[in-house]
Amino acid sequence: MAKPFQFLLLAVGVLALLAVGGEIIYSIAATTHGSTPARVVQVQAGPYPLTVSLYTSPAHASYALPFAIAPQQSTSGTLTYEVSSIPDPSDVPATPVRASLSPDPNVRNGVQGAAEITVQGKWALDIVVTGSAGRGEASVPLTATAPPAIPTWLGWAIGFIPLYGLLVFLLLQRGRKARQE
Amino acid sequence: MAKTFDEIAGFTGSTTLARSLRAVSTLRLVLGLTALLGAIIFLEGTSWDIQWHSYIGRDRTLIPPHLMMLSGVALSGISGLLSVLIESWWARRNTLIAQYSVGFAGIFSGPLGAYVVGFTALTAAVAFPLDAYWHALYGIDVAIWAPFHIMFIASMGLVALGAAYMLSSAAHLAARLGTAGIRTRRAASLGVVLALATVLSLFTLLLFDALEDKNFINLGFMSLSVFPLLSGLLVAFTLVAAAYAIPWRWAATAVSVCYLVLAGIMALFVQPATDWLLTVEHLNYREAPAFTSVVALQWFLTPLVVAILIDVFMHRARRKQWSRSKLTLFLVFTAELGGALPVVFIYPLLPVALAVQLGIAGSLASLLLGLAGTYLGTIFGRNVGESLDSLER
Repeated sequence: MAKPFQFLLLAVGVLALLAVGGEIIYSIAATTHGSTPARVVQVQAGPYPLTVSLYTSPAHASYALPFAIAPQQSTSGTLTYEVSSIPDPSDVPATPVRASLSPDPNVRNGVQGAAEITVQGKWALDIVVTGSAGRGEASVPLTATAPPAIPTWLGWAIGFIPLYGLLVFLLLQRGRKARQE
Repeated sequence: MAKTFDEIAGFTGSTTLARSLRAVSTLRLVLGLTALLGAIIFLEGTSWDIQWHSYIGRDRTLIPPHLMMLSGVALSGISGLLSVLIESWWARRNTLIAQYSVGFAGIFSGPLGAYVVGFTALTAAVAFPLDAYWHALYGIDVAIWAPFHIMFIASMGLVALGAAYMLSSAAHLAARLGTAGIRTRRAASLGVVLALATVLSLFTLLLFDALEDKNFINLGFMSLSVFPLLSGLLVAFTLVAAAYAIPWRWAATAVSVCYLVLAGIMALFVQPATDWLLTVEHLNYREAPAFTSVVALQWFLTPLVVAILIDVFMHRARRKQWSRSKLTLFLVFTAELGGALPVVFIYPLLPVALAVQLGIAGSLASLLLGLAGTYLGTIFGRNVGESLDSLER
């Protein structure tokens, strides 16, 4: 293989490695809560008035949406939460996803978590809360966006990269054998 | 006639040289097997992922099957990278190592297979976020034939091929040591068999969609199936490569048996793992699941028959001194069986159903297309097999 081509391949490899590293860092960063919420919604879940803080708005499809839930009034006893991101079936071909939750150390009976939004379109953050006053449910509508779509042909052209590589490799093997003969 | 491992002269040089060769062959064996393990983990994880998508849905990006697949990619990529970095460092201090390595960009030295493993594991790693992007645009129920699924699976298939190259070079270097390297040689040869079976298995995942009628090529007056073309190309390539590369009487058969064993592992672990995670994650099935892995149920059985016939013809050709073109003709028509008769566990009458769907003209045209695939697969398989058979770098 010619030296300039080897350098080109090396440069592409390094760039690809950096892109993968950047994507991993971005995915991890997407789950972390910023200092200021991008959107704050007041909802009533049965007997419990709640404040829902969304740290990304609109949500980024295929990344986590960090959120926090806090009761607006102090309540006796403990509140437990179940949170899911629910796709709008008329708009989004996806399945509901349970969000990860952990207690918010700064807010009594508050939680924080990350809900995964897999596909662009209309979603809702479904919150079920249970406490001494019974069970309540609330829904926060969301919109998820994705980066602009690349043309389908370009997707296929990129997707076939390993097969082009295989073809080049097989032809090089053939050339190697011919040189040996 | 191709040179076999046994015919390579035993290495009887100085102790230092022998020690260096032993060390480098052991390094390639260990890292080649690790890269192969990564590809197998990816294969089994993909089977689990298909089960998860079919019966639960793509609910999160980092679901356990995806984590398993990514672990396989990472393991393979790290093995390839380590192999190149260690040998590059070593080759600067030892000219013998440099002699048995392939240089790259004037900076690196390493076995050819390690470069293949490293680069293709990297393309697999790039394919994963691209696939998440594709799902974000088009939804969760994307078919296997989607651009970045192909990129992901094909990349890992090539990782397994790279592992076969690493292991083959380990076997040949160990053969130079004579009896001292016999265990390394044996382990590496077994690894080559398993690696080729993994290549066959991973690319098999891309064959399923070829059987769906929405993927037939409709010419108006008849429909064509590309299954015989793709299956012929794949089966001929891997089994002919095995028959030329591995100095065993039943090399291709051993590859096809390992191919079935890999499906057996899927059959055993996928559905219990899915049930367990469903409970842990409080999820529900979208529909009642199959009793075992759906991929294992669709696994093709014909490669076993094709492999036995290839081994019989290869043996006969060596004994009777067949011409190269006569052997090629036999291999092409034998491998065509794989494309013509896609017999699967769950539906043994699939070839009949396919023929009825395509009609006589469509079936014959598809088989002719298949012959082109098996011819190319045989030629490429022979080149790769002969290259593997003499590879030391």
